[in-house]
Amino acid sequence: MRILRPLLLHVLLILMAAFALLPAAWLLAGSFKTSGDLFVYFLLPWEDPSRLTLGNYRQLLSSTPFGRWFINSVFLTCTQTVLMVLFSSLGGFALARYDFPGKRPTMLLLVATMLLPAQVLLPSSYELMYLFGWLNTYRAILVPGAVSVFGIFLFRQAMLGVPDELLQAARVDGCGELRIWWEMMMPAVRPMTAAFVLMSFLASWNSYLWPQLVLQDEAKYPLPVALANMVSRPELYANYGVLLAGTVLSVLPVMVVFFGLQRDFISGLTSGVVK
Amino acid sequence: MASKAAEVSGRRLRSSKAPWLFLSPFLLIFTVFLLYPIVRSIILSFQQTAGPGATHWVGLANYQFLIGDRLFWLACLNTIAFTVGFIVVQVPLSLGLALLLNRKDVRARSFFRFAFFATHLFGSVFIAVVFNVILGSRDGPINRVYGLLAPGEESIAFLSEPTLVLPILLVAALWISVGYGMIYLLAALQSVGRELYDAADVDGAGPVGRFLHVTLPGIRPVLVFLILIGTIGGLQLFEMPYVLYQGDGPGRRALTIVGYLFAIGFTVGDLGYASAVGWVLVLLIGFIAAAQIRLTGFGREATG
Amino acid sequence: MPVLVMCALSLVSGAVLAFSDEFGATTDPDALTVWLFDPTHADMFRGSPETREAGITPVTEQFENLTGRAVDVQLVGVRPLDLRLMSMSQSGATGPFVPDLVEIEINSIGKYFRGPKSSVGLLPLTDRLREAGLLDDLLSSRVAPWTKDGEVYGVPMDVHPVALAYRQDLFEEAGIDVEGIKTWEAFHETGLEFSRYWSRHGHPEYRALEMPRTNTSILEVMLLQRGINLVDQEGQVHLDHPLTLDTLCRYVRMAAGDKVVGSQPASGAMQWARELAAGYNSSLLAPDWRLALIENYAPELAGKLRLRPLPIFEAGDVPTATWGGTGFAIPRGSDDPDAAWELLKFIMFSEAGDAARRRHTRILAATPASWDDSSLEVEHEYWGGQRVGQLNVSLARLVPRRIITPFSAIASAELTVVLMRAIAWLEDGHDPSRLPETVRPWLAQAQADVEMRIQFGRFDEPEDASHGQ
Repeated sequence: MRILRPLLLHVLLILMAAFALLPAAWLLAGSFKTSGDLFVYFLLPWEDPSRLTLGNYRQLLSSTPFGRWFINSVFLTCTQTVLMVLFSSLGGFALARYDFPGKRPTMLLLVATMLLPAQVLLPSSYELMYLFGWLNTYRAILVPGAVSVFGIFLFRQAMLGVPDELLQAARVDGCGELRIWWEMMMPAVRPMTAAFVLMSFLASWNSYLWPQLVLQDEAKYPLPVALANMVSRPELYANYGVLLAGTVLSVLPVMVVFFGLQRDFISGLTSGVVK
Repeated sequence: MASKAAEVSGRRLRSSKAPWLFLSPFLLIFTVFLLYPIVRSIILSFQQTAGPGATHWVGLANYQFLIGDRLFWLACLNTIAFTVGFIVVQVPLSLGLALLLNRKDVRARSFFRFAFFATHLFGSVFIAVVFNVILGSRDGPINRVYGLLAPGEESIAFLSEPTLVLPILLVAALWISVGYGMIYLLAALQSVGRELYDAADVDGAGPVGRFLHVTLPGIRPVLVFLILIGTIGGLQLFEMPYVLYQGDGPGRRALTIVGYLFAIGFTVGDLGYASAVGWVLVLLIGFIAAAQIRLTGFGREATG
Repeated sequence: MPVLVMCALSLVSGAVLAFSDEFGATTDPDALTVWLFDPTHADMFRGSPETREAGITPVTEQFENLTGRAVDVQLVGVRPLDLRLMSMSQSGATGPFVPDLVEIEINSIGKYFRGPKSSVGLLPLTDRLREAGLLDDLLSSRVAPWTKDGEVYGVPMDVHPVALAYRQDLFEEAGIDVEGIKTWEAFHETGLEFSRYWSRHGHPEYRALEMPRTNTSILEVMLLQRGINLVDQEGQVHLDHPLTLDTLCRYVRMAAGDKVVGSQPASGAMQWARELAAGYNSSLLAPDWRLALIENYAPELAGKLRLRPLPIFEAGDVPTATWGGTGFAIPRGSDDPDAAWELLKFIMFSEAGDAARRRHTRILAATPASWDDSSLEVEHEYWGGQRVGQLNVSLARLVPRRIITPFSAIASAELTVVLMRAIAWLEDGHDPSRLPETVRPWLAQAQADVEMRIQFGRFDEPEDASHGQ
């Protein structure tokens, strides 16, 4: 009985993990199979491993500017993440650490916008991009995407938890406010920052609708737009293997970022809510 | 409290300007790229539009039409069914996983944690690609499994089956979100004080009693938080049906409220009516979220 | 600090992008930009790898050699293209990022026509067509969908006559002579015979006809055979038309229930063609755009397929109709509409354009003058030596007029709902003879709903506003 229970527990966990990972495993396996083999073998052709091929990846890299799309995505996502962290933490600092007239209405206004689905604003936002002459440029993605209302509240919440005495001591020492933010606040909320970086990275890496609307040159596409559009490329039409290879390469970087941030991420993600 | 800190430091002048300075980049972008479109779309919701220069002021006509619009109510029904289904499955499933992983006798905990959370890293476009390949063909893997389970039955065109729309959307959404909820709940479980459990043991509570009287109250804020963001996210559902069903799906079962306003705006071209639908949705979300917050007292600890 | 890593990555990737030569405008800023959604049409413009290898100059390059204007062809998905064009049209955008020539799917054109003429985001082409003497070259029934209040906004590329493509091998083995079938009713009977034969011979999954149960694409082809457009030019809705009811009921009987002969195609890319190869649907409605796709995605069917005109419902019906289509239009915001017009003319009306179309597609142009071409006489091995081009020309002359209004899409969606409801009703085991009386009120309700939407969505110019513009 003593051995049986943990054993059962682990069997259950492994089964559930397998269920969670199966589509991903299928995706990975599929990207190494020829189109003809894709559905013939459920996962991998175990009997005959020589049927596996890099052909899908080769075709992906040779017949599409995939490398270019990849760099586009890295640039857009990293830049946007940095901007979001910067503006959100500054704003969160202000909301957490100061009392000033107009604070309450400002916060209420920010909360209210979180209820709004972004699609409602699509036409007006598009019009704005047109008026600014930003269509088909990365500005149209980076500038409006530089603020996150959710982020400002996360930082506010985390920074509320920093002891007052630290701050007062610093002020007495004559520290500038900006230095307090950078040298005391940011290190103090480091786990939260890691969590927010991962969340912004995810959101930005996977964002689809807005980039698809405002970017027009294929060379400027980020990965989700490019992948969704790949279906309409003549040489890839209905070629599932290449699509799967593209999906694998698109998801990989997120996995890497997650591994890098995993430790801080889990404590940070919840610090705002749990405490 | 924060104001006290500013007073103590004796730099009032600087402090009263500083917060606005820190907020200014945020507020500037917020005002131009969020507030302006918001105001504009409120105005649009009282207009009828058909391209540049072609607008009529129609007062409340858009909102009036909406009340009798069968499609809007269908979209509401679909969206609410999805939201309820999502929360009812996600929260218990996430909690179950978190409870299992929180046991002391679990080995390789970080592997399992990763396995369950990794699905959250897939964006909906990538999910749609995978699901389309898996489900979109008669000899796809799910049909193969189905063939084993029900020999002789005809294979299924999954994505064309109206009754399967909601289940497929739910599976896709849950596949992304269960691990995500689990991470939150796991952290919450670990933050419940050891001494509370000890006290419960002293009182002679069984496992069920411990769960009901110690664990559940301890993780309540996180549970409420998950339900709240699940509600908002569910009611705003758009991208998954958009990429998986290219619109409203067989029998319009994939038509969500946001999908409907998107279709009106971009496939009929009536930005006025689309905006009106959007604002009714905002009211709906605000109402439900407020009710949930009021009922659960969420956030009282944080702000009060 | 993760933020610093992101910062570094942002700078490095930014530098790579800034120094890579293709950044910014893809080619020279002076190039005319073309947006297409159909991959084969993109081949037609810029050549396929094979034709480039064979040393054939793409038609866009010929245009460049002739006029000095480069052409930048962007292949965009059909939905993103529509989304961007609609957004541009709604914000009245002009400027270098507005494309000079766009391909529009025929079912999408209606929504651009909902407002007054002045708000249509496309350049009016009637005068240009007339001056160039080209208006009369185009099949008038194909110009109709691209016309609003007498003004033409798009040049149709195709006629898309529909034929029936069938698996000669499977039907023959079942002892059925498909060529002899005159009516859909007779087709239904033989379809049942076909199913019976094949379920006795180990293939219960073989069905006689591809019949989607969740969209009305084929039902609407059949309606058009009988002259029914769901919404006509006057904005009249015909969902409650007796012929609509009759056609719908026959379709439902064939697609579902105890006498089913239709097969629901899976949704994946090109699955319908794969299912033709697998026998799930042993015949399908084949407009000319489907022919090349069938050849590409079901190469193993070479010699096993035949084409014939569609069966009809009753005397007076046309043994063909039209399905799908695209047209080319110039966005109003184009920087250089005159050059765009020259390009449009070159693609659609020149020898070079004709040749490119024939090279890359099997599509019959909307210009009857181009139909007595020798390439249309070819006997196709794949189709068992049939003169596919000749068949299509003979059908093209009969193609009924297709009407697209801003509200046609809504009417189609309503019809889809009724179709699915009727199929579900029949599959619940109800008495099939009661189908018409059951469906009639559903259609009436759909009719009322569409009429209400037209009433609400119609954009009337106020009488006093005309002088304001």
